[in-house]
Amino acid sequence: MTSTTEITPTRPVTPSTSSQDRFLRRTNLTHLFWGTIGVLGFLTLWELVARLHLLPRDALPPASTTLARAAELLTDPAFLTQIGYTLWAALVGYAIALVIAVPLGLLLGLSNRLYAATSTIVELVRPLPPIGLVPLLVLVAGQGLEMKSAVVALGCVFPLLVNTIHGVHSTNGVARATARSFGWSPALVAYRVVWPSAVPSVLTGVRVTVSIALILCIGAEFIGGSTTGLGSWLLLQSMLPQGIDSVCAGVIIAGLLGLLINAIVSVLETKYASWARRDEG
Amino acid sequence: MTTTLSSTTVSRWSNAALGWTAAAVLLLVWQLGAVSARSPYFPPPIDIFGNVYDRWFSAGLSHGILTDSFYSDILPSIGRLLVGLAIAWIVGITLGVLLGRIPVLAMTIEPLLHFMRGLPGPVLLPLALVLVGTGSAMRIGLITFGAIWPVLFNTYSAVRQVPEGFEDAARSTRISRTGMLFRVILPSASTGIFAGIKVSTSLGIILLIASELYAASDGIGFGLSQAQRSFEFLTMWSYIVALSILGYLSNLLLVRIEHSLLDWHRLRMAIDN
Repeated sequence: MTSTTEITPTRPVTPSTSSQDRFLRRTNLTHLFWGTIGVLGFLTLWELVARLHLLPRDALPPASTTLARAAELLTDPAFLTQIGYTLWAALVGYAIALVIAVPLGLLLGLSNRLYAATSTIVELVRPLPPIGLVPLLVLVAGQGLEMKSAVVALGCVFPLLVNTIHGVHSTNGVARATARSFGWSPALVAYRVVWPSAVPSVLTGVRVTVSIALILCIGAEFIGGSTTGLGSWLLLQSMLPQGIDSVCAGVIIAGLLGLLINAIVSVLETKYASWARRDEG
Repeated sequence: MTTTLSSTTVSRWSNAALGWTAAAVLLLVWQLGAVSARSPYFPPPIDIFGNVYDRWFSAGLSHGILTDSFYSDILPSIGRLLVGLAIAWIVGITLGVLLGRIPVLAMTIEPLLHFMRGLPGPVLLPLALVLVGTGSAMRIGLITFGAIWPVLFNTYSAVRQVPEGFEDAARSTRISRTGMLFRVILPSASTGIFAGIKVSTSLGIILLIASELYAASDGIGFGLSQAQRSFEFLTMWSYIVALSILGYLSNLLLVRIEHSLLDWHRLRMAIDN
């Protein structure tokens, strides 16, 4: 080493792990302070852009008008019913996807032969974007709940399946062999050893697919020409002469809905899979 | 990490053979079932593949195989997807790095970003129709808006988790700022970024089709909605097959790129284990 310059480290070099997150040192209060500034800044900018007519197509309502309309909508039973239709269809489709994907994923993950036999089919069918099936499904299943749920189920079943299989495959082989050597039945090993170690991966699948479920359900309503749900409500409003306020307000509410759903899933994940993350780190 | 699959070449080949045989059997069952059931909704696969060939690949060698309808049905969609995704990736990675390096900026706009990420993309379609119009720009914008979040959030969290030791080590060599970005931070965050890119591609395809099914004049989604209006099930299935191939190929391409770009990373992981 023939270094001519003297190196003085600006701070002591500490051994650091990748899970050490330097952002977490800041307090919640600091986060809240800057976050509030960010939101208020955005709303002010929006208000100015709309009031000073800075956009080429002068149609964007100001933030104040939109938020007032959103507050109105949130107390309007007719609007809330439409949201209920969307959530119900998404939930039914999602439940179908879960009931199919998780047991099937366990089975395919546990049996190498079954996995080999089905993997090509799964790889060929999986990339098909479910929204492309909407026109066909409309003709087969109509424009209502059945069609929407089918689109959601088709879109969510493959990511969930793949994540479950991945979870099963990542089970520690020694743990499985040990449990077997205790004389446990394969079913007991699956229940007590394989399933717990697959849970984090399944929950990752859930986190990714929950927001896709909402996207697909609203997209299906919109494209499939449903008469119920948030998507069709938005479409209807966009055709009314003064409907743009309602459309903007509806978009804000849809965003909050997505935020709420993501928050619920991450709470679930911390509750049931935090041990795994600590393990990986 | 122990996988229970045995990794000898022989069993890998026999597994692949088993997989393709199962796929072939499934197609055969579908063929026989469709021929005997004569359901208008589910035509036999041979008819579908014949229709795909006639529609897009039957121009003959002298005309470059691809037919005119390939250029009006498929290419506009691929173009929109590529442009929309490229913008989403560039903006997403840039913003993600900025947020990961400047805590104050991150704290300021994080609530907004979480809101935007939670926003289901198709919801914006009516708004975009009114504010932007029905041209290609609206569709590309929608793809970009939907595809940006997975890239942004993955980059952000990957950049945050670059070990400080790496930076300190690099700083001790008096590395320049650009050197730090391109030789330390981005490579270290690259696996996270790539995971985001993969998710964003499938979201991009969903939004592409969603936007083309509505008020379009060309593209896969447009062809699909035209076929639906005239109850041409065979044509609809051709477009569905085209979509499936588009999804399959884009995934294949990304996996290839990831392998060649991140080969060193897999090597390192192998050494770590």
